[in-house]
Amino acid sequence: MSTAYKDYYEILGVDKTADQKAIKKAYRKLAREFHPDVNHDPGAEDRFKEIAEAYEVLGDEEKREQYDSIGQGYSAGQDFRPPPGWEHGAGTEYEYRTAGDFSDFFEQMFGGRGGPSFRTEYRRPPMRGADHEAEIEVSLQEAFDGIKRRISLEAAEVRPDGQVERHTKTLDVTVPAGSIDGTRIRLKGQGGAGTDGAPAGDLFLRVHVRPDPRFELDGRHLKTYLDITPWEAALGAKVPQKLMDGKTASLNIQPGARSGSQLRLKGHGMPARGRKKAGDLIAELRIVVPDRLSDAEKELFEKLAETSKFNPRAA
Amino acid sequence: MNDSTAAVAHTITVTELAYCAGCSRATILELLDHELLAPVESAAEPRFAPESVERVRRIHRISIELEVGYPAMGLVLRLLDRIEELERRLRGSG
Repeated sequence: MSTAYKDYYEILGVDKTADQKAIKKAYRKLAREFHPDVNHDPGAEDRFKEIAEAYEVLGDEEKREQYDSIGQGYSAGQDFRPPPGWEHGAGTEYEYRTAGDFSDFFEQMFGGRGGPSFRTEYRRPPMRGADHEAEIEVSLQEAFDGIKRRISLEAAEVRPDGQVERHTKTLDVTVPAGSIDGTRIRLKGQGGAGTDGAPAGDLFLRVHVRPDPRFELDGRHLKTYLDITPWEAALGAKVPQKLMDGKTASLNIQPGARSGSQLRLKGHGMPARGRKKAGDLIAELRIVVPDRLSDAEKELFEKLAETSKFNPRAA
Repeated sequence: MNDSTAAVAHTITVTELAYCAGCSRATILELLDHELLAPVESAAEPRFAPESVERVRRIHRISIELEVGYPAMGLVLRLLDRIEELERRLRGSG
């Protein structure tokens, strides 16, 4: 195999007799000018690679010596063949200062980067992918019944080479019956990718239950107001109460019921899930008076006011 | 079946960031110390946006290849970002 000879002295713009100080100075000057983080011109990156490679060799006494002895008589671009028996430094371990890739010419002369480098020094054992978290919003009814959802996630994966790759993935998710606000659904292996064959992380979906006009979620309990008339409160009554499962329960209002007192329907809150017991349905009584009274109603209330000795404010 | 979209903010840990950028955890912690890296969340363990990988690599390149120390790095990065932004604007108006 042959490669084109590179004149590192020419690349750094120094004399063949330049000392280390001069070489370092030349490198610094050129690096500041052509470093791809500083210079966005199209050719800058390639130019900097050359400069870094030249400095890698000339900035190191040992490599420079080898380069000088083997490269004698060659000029830039000339077909370079290492002398017979040359095995890039014969087992010498080099240290590399820069993190860039070097040319074929360099590799032929000094071998691949065998020594520790920034890229390889800290190689870790395979690592499990990260757990990710997302939110999924459902209505109270959906949380009660359970629901299947197709969700799209915008995922960003960091590839081992550091590139960030964005893609959308679609998942079919079951939100189990009896989920409440904050319930976490674990989707095994749907999190971040592992490295070097290690398993992927998990995706956790956190359930968010939208507020519902009928019921308020309190843990696994469902709270609601039960509006009753003054006479239902006074005389007692059986009042229908709609339940989440669509059925209707009959609630017994005791005579003399007070506003704010609570009736509890055991087990009629959010259904049991896992080790969590079903919640209760709690109805708070609210005594409601008609906005507008008919003449007949007004008459009856007036009669009641005259007749009743009841004074709620009496000490 | 309903369709809905949930955007996941994918963040990575110190260990993952170190792995992806090819450096040690100690380096990441040092960068944090110099406030050259900003975590997304700072709970028990800091987490980073995936874009931090490129930032760490960039810092490494600049520190090694341009021999810029961490104390001056913040300024260098800010100036480079600023130049980039100005160049972008110049192109936009040109």
